[in-house]
Amino acid sequence: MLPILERAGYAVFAISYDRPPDLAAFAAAHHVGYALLSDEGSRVIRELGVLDEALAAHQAAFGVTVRPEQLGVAYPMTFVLDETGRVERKIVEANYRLRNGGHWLVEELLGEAADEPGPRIEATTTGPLAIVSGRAWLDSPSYFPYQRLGLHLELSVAPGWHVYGPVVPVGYTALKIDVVSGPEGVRMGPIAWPEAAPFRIAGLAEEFSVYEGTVAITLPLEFTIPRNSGVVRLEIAVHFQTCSVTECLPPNEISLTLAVPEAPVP
Amino acid sequence: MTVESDYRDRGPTIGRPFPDVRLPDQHGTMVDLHEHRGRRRAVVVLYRSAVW
Repeated sequence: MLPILERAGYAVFAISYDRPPDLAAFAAAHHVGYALLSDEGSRVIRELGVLDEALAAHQAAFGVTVRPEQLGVAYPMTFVLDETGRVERKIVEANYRLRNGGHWLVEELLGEAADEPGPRIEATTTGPLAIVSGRAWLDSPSYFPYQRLGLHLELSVAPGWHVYGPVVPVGYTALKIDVVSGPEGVRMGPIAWPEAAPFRIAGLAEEFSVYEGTVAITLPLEFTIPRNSGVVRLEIAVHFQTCSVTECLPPNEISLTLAVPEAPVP
Repeated sequence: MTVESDYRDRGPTIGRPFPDVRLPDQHGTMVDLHEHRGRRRAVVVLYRSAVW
């Protein structure tokens, strides 16, 4: 996805401790045209102050043997530089095992969706009143181990109806989204909820926050699983309660199932 | 697990020039980051490894 940034006028550099031949093999396998810089011995990684000293301890905790050169691993971090070369932004992962897909960066920096999205998944509430429908698509057709991808979810609520935002008074069901089945290690990160509109019913003191019409939410999916895990099958449940000004229906849910293939290993 | 603020303190400071970096690329050609960047905005991605 980084070539999209290049086309948008960014110079793109990626730094790791790998040797140039390994980087050349990676570049050929993934059709990478931008600069993969080789910091063999991790001198620059140390000078930049981005060495991951905690890695050995983390790896020991996971029971994995660390090769000497792996102690020169950098924190997965991205720096955005302005036209004068100053650091404008740092994008940091709290969990060193996760790498953002380039897709997130493209969306962060350009505010547009990366191309090559995954297939679309559709689901609708069943029953006589099919009020809520959902469409979802992953921002990538496949995952890399330890990558975080965004699942774009578009919920449509029929006119005259609303669902409740993430904060509701007691007794109502808030919009809630869960991974209900999938391999251990595939999780949903914290959701940045879109702002819900205030909503009042005449004669009631309570103020609700509601979503009406179409609601777009990006769900961060973290693939904290090893290589060769193969196709990841996930079932995601969207729980909600729909109400109109005059009536509330019982809590309901829709289920989205997706199968995400693993990106080919170089 | 380290808290996120510890990580944000890592590396070059926001608002300061990104340090000069000269490293060989995948073809073995020496690349000067700022020279190659010219007057463009840039993205510098630090990642674990291309091999594992």
